[in-house]
Amino acid sequence: MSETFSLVDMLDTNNLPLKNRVNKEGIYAPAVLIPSEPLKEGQQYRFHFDMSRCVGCQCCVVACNEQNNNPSVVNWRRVGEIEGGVYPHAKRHHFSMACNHCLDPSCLTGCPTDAYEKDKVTGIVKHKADECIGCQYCTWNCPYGVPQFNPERNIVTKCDMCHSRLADGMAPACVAACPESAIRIETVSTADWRENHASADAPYLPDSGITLSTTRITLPDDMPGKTLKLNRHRVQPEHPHTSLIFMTVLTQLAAGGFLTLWLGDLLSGVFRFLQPLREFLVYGACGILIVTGGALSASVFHLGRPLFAYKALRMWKRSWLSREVLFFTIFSFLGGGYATLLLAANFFQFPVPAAARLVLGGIVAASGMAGIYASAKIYLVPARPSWNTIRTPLRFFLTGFILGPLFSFVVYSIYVLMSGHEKISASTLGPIFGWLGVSGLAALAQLLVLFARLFHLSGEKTPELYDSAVLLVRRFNRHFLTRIGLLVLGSFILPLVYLIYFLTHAAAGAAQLLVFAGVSFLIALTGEFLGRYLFFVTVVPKNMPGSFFTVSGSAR
Amino acid sequence: MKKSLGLDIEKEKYAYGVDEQFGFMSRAKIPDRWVATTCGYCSVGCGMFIGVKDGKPVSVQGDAAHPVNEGRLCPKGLAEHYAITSPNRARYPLLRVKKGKFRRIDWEWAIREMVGRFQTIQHRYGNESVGVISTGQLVTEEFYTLGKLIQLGFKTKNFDGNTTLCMSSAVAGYKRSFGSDGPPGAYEDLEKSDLLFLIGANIADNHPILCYRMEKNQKRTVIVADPRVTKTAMMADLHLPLKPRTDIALLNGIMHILIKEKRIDPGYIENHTTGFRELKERLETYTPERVGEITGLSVSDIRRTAHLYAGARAPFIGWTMGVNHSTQGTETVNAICNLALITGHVGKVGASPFSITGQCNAMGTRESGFTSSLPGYRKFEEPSHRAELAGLWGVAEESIPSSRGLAYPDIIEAVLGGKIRGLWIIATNPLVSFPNQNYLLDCLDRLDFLVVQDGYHPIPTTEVADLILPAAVWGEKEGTYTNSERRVSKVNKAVEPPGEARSDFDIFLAVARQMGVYDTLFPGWTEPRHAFQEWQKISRGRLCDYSGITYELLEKHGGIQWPFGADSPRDPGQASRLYEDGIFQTGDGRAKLWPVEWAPAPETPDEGYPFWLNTGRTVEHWHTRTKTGQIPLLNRLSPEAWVEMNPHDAEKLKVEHGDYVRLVSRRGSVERVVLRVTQTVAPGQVFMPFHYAEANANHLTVSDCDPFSREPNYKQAAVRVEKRN
Repeated sequence: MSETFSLVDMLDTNNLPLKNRVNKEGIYAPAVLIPSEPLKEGQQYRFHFDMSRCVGCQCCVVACNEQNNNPSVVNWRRVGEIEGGVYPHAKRHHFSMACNHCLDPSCLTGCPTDAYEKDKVTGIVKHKADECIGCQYCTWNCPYGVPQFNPERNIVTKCDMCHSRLADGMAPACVAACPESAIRIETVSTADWRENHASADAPYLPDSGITLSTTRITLPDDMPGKTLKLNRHRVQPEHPHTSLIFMTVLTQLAAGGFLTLWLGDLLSGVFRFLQPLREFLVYGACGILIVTGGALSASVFHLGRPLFAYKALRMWKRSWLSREVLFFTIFSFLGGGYATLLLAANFFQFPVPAAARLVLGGIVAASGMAGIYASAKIYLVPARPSWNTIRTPLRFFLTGFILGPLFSFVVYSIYVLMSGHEKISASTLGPIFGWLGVSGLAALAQLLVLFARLFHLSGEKTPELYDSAVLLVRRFNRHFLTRIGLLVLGSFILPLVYLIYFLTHAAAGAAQLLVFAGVSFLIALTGEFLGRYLFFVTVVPKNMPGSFFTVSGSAR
Repeated sequence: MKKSLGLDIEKEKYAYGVDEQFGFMSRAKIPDRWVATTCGYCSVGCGMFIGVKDGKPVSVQGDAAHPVNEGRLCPKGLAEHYAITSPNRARYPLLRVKKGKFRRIDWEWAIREMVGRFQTIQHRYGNESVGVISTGQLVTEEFYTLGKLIQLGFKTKNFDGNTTLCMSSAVAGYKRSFGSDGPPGAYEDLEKSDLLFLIGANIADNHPILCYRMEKNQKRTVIVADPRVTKTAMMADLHLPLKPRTDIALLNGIMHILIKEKRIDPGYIENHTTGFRELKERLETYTPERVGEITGLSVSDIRRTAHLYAGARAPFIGWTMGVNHSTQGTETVNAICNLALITGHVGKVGASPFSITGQCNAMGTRESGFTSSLPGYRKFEEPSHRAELAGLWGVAEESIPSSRGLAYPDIIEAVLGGKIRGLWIIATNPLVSFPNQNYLLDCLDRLDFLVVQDGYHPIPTTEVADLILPAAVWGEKEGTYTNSERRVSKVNKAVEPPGEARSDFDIFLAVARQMGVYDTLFPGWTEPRHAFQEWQKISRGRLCDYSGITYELLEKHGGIQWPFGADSPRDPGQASRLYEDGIFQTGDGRAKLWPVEWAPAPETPDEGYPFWLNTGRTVEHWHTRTKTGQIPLLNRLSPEAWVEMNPHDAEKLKVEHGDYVRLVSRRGSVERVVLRVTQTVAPGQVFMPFHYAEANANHLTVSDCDPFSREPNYKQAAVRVEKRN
């Protein structure tokens, strides 16, 4: 307190600016808390967090929520805790973290709608609410859990460093609120920081190299060598993303189904037993298209703002999410063309040259495969280690090759039934052998992939991978066993039983065939749905260390 | 529909704007006007503004010009407007029809019912059969009014506040050592002292803005004595992890060393104290070795502490509940004062034995209330004080009691014994905060009539009331608070109370009218200012002299420290300290040195209950969470109670971090509480916050109280911890 101020004046008029009453250390001239010089070329703003000063009082968290009118479940700034040492020399240290305004912001590069921008002058990573469709891909991409879904708005929002306050020479809300002056704004040369960003690292923080976090952290001198996170007991399941379970499994089914149809068509010249397929192609393709339509509609419900789904195509040059949408759009349109062509040929009795059919079908099949690949790439993000492995694309393709053929088998059974065959002849069974073969092999591979995940239970250095495997075998052990059981039953045991049955019962009818196909398919489908559920709920994202009561993950 | 399609993203709610005073912020938080006031949570007394928009409180901001906090607020303060709008506000007077069922009645009926029932009880069982338990949450004007109403209107002495659960040991200790209550120092001392010795005080969690003041002191050395490695202990240069309840031994040990090494101030002792010889004799046995044994500290740490204290230019001793919450609380305060006195460190810039108080206006009730002393720190047993007051009030001298009535825990005991039949509880929630809850429930059950006056309902205590009086809370009424450093600050009304809730001041006047004592006790009073003006006269010439303080001056300076007489030469903004001249409020003007003996806690761990239970607070919550429990963000940050245990013990009990456990004491149990395995507590000790009604540490705590202050021994009890299946 160095100057005297007239509170009475303010009270009397209610209008006199308080700015007149503020001392040198006050919140309006926070010379030491924000840079006093304007930014120079090649510099950007960043947070400096001094862990040795922070006492974990949570003032920054509350001030931030008040500044931005955020609901309590959205915290752009969060405080985490770690501790180490032995009583009485124990030390607890706190992390206060908002957005790190990274040099390579993964929220921005993944965004399918260009809702993020890195300000050219200040380097602040800003989010544009209007452009956001609420797909939450950024919440998967950020290794710090910074962007958070706001359920009141159905979009993601994040810290913008109170850039408008900064522009007015005022400290951001968190900076101004900190009783310990542990949070400050400073400038950094981006080129230098790219060279050496080691001071953005701290125990339990994701490697700053992933996104080049700009937040400088001053660690305390007395930081214990070994520390523990206080929220280490709170490994919680992530959101299951039900609509994405449907969307991914069904698009994979469709793409895998189409590819096997097309391959059958291609190979039917060589393998005579596949020839019944040629007549069936048109029905198979129609069935697959219906599933694709369903899958793509389901995906829209994942979005916070379904009406703006079209915007997801925008960033196809950069975002795998845009590319996924693009490839499956191509798949469904060209697939539609393919089916229409065959339907028309059937109806109007005109011939379609085999070469044209195969070429067009090949393009459709390729776009489906590209779609699965793009889907998988979405999940290959460093921030989510249990997704970020070769197993993810393998699982996605294998789901397609397990379910696609079984689905064709079902449609084929209907086709056989409708075309008036009362008894099944050996020649009719030909394609079924092919489908069951492909499906069985894929299921075998899928089993291997599943078990491979359990290797993370021992000797695992990435804590998120270990936690994820523990979630799977402890909390979700029943789900996991059921999933394996369904896979084995639907793809091995039942098909084997049918085969034996049909080969030994020459008089089996088409209705029986349909029942068997249907049961087998539904069991395998349930297995894959369950597997995808586990895929979503058991991922343990990278994040900043939380507090004792913090549950990781904030996405819907 | 629009929202689920994504057409509506609540743009209006999340828009920003520029506030003329505080700059760029959420537009929804920009008010029509800012109302200057003082925070209503703890006794730090931070200056702040409430933003009012369309008659509703929408935001708060710290007052950058306020001498206490310079714009900073703790997380509770930063969300304080939600305490006004919270859904559990009491809105209408309610009369119990049967258990758990209330009927809405009007105010006239409520006051008539209350006064009628109390008078009937008094008629049958005597005036003293009605007890009143007040609080530290009201404004000074209300405390002053309530004191007169109870003692001169209801004519019962059995009147006390929840402040007895909180800082009465500091009061009793100051009275015994200095002849009067009143913390001698100022917050400025945190900045100007070179040695800050904190005993049983976790200011980082409980008074974060004092940490802000401390951080400004670049030349400080900090010593923290606390059995637990608190956030504050982690900030210390020297942490003394002493065994629970051994502070007296430590303080005596320090004095022993200082006397032996002749590092005391003989001149000060000679001129300003009495009792040094007895003290010195008592300290003989407190050799560093013996103290080391009692406290568990190393002899070198004890010596180092003594030497740091002796070597300091201006050592500051601050304490809170670790000292007060004890059957030896008063004597521990005396030991602290002894240390400050024999080294001459009282009333100096930077140096002071300083009690950091709890509630926002605990100090106000200490000064103006009529509970542990007569208004103006006058003494019940002093005839001249009674005569003076009677003269000022124009009442018969005999109407002023010559002894103190029952203290809070004794009022409860008197309920059990059938001596107290009617009870009026004001702005406190004993069914969370009182020790040994099962005992309390048993007592309250026996009352003929229980009135609970509170801003919040339902809360555990209103649920057992016969009559609920809905009161206005902070932000809805005017008056003054006094903080720990004796700074009187203005509290202003920003919005109207909800429903039919009325300010406590109005309720007291209504009760006085119903009793027919309004004209004699409160002639012409309609607003708090009238009470303040009388209080100014009553306090004139006393240690806590308000006679130069006016509402207008307070608003101009953001608070003024008392004493501030009408003719005070001091600049109102200048810091003030007591006893700068070494003249104390005792009969002979000398401070009293009390030879104090360390004694073990009333209950210590044994085979059946092998853990020390220590209780305390967390930064996100206030007391029994009637306010903060309804604030979503604070609740998200700290949603439930927890118990801290050393890994060594957790391993033995085969319990893990994050498990739910059961705690059992001889008196009760906490059935389900989450375990925090941490090295911040010693093996053999557990810690639990007391805020949570759902898992209430006070089911475990002991009933024993300090013989002088009647403050309960909250900080130590013996418990066992059981794994839950």
